[in-house]
Amino acid sequence: MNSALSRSRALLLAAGTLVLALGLGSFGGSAAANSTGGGASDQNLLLGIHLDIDSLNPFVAVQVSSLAVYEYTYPALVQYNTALQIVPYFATSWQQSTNGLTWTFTTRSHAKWSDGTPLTAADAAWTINTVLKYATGGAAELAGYLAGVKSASAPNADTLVVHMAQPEAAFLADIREMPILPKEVWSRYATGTKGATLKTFANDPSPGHPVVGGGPFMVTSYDKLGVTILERNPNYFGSKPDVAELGIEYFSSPDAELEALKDGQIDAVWTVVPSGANSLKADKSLVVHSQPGLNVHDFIFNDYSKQKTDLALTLPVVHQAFDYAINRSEIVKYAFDGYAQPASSPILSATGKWHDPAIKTPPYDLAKANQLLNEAGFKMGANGVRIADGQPMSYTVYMADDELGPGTEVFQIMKGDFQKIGVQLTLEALTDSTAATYTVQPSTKFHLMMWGWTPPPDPSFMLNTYTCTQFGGWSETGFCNATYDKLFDEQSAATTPTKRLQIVYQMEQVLAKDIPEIMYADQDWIDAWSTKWTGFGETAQGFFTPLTTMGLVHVHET
Amino acid sequence: MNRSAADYALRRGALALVTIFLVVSFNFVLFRLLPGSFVTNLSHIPNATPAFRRAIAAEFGLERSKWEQYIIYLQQLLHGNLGVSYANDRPVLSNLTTDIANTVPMVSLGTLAAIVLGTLTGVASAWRRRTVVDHGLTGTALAFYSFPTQWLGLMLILLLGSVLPTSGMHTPFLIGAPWWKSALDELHHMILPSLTVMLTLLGQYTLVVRSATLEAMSEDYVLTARAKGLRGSRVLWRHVVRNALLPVTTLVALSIGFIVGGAILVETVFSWPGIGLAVYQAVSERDYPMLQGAFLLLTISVVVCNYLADLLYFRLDPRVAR
Repeated sequence: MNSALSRSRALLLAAGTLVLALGLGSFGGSAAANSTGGGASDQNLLLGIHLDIDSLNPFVAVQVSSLAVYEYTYPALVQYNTALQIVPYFATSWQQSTNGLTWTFTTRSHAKWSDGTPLTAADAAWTINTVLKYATGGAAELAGYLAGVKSASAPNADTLVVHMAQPEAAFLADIREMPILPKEVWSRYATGTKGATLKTFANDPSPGHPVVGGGPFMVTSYDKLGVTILERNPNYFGSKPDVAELGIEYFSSPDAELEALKDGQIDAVWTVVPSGANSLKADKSLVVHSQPGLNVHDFIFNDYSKQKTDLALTLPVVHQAFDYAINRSEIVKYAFDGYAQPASSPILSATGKWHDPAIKTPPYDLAKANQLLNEAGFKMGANGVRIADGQPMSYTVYMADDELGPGTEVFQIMKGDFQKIGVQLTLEALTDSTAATYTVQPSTKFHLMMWGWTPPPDPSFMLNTYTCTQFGGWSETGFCNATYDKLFDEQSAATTPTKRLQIVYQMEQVLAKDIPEIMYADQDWIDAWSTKWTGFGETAQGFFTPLTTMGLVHVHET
Repeated sequence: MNRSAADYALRRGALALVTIFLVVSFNFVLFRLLPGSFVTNLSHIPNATPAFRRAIAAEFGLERSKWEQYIIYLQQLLHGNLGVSYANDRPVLSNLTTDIANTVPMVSLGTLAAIVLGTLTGVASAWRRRTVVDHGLTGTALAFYSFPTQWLGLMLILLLGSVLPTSGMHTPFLIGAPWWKSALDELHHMILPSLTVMLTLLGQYTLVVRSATLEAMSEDYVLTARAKGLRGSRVLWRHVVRNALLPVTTLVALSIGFIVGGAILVETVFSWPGIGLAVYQAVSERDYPMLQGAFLLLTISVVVCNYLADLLYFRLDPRVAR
């Protein structure tokens, strides 16, 4: 902690009363005006975020905001561009062997870490091998990015060879998330049989000693629940950022965050909720940007086959009828204030080519829904509620609390429509943690749930959540289909993009037919910034994202 | 200290220790009553793979039985170890020390201002009872007392956000500034959250002091003082207020005890990185060690302050020992 701040605290209490009494005048103002760092031409950009940066140690942090900081401060082999195509980062080119078992990367020559020491392919090889060595211990956090990887080697300073145990079609997308760490700094913590000390290293900066990194910025100041400062890395191998310093301020109140933007206390906000976007749009000094995002909302059926009650809900015909009864246009218009797209597949249109264009959003058709339920033999009861297997079709829908807000309005729209097909729904909110406990498969704790995903652009993650092997893991639907699992393995092992794309489409078709969960809305990603700034690189996860460094490197004052 | 005073102090001290032990156990159970844990909280984060979640559960002993976890917790506590935060892998004590250091100046400032202002308004409204002054002061106090804290904070942000900082403790990019500039900057950031703390506490001080003052004003010795022809202000400050402040002692002690606990809602609205915000985060993340540590410190703080208030009460009015 800054010693000046510690010393100052002793005076605060006594002086505070005086300050309140005198009503000390403002010496704040806009974030840019407050800047003291850098020369006259330097610009400091201050972002507001609503997720804390939980740690600067990549073996510890799980928040996406922390991963975004790593994206800007540590190099990775590749990254996405704003159109979500994989492009060079530390690696300038790469090649996969014909059997898919070896990847050879050519890395940047004469690159340096922020402290001036050489950044070479050996650092990348060391990082990969260390994570593999401690995959079940201290490095478990990063081990997920190395699916199928056996080892890595660096035959020379500019060449990295990654050896695979089996081909992995998502390898580039996965390895993209792996920050390359400076061996010189981290090797002393990679000790013992479990590598536990990898997690105990705080990796905090101190005055005059920024965190050693190799991305466009380096962390010079860190405050988990305050402001974290990133300074332009003078040794960065790529094109330097336009801003000299990037401040990232945590806001625990989204309302206060938006007010701070309006008042000019911050320059930009990463992630705005739809209702907030409307309030910002009236302000001519702000830009509100929205685009289809990687943010899908779903209506989950528990398909676990050994449930004791309400087995009707596991029938594909019921899933289909419910799908017809969901009025996606109304949901988009009223619950999301227009900041969403009707969804049809877990592989969202924002992923580009991975979304099968042949899959169409089901029409809103209550007559068809009624027809399907009639054909299934679920007769309408006297009170307007159908009877299935001797039980009224009256169900509790659980909702994870991060869905509340738009989700509550979505439920009200669904409830009204479902009444018209003889199905009664009741809402019960759960904390995310409780919802997660309910959905661990095999589960008999719920029948219907509303939740959502913020999936990565590569389809492997979302497709994997429907495999039988993910019981106890990512599966929340209990869906289990041997044909689907076989296709998943085939797409994982595919060594050509065309072949893989074809299989991915087949899998999407299976999901569209069996409907293990109904995807009803793909929420837009909304960011906002002051008109004083321009050059934000927007992606389907906004401008501050672990997907790319292109979101902020070209931001500058207008 | 005479024997009855020593007995009183010992009895109260023993009660305080029992209270702390019970709260330690209660805290352990309380946070584990809800389904789920820190690990299940990660289930919708794509980079937190199932293998990672298993490793985390093993690292923090979450796969052990609750009894085992409780015994380990007590053993560690006896060694002065509050454990390691699940969220950032750092010692809880180190996290809490930083948080408390951030909280205490801001909440103290608001509390102190509330005590001073509340005492003045309480005395004034009692002295001018059933007048416009009385109705105005008690009405205002009641209004602030009844406003939800987060709403009041947001209203202050809306009203004063263009002239005062509304978030955090420091102006970003002000690193390496002279200490006096940092201190002034921190004070500047403290104004709105401290003002919110003050306004939320003001009502109870006004009402308690008013009530105690009115009670004291009806005492015979006040009548005697008036009959002796003493000036009104002398009667008020020498004979009424001094006696009326006795019940306020408890309220002040309680307020001081709660300073360490921070002000969760205020710190959340103003993103003030203190213990209140840390508790809010820890609840969201199911970070049991942080919650246990924070509540333990809060408990100790409240119990100790109450204990001191009891002793002070005994000093001010020895009849309470009977």
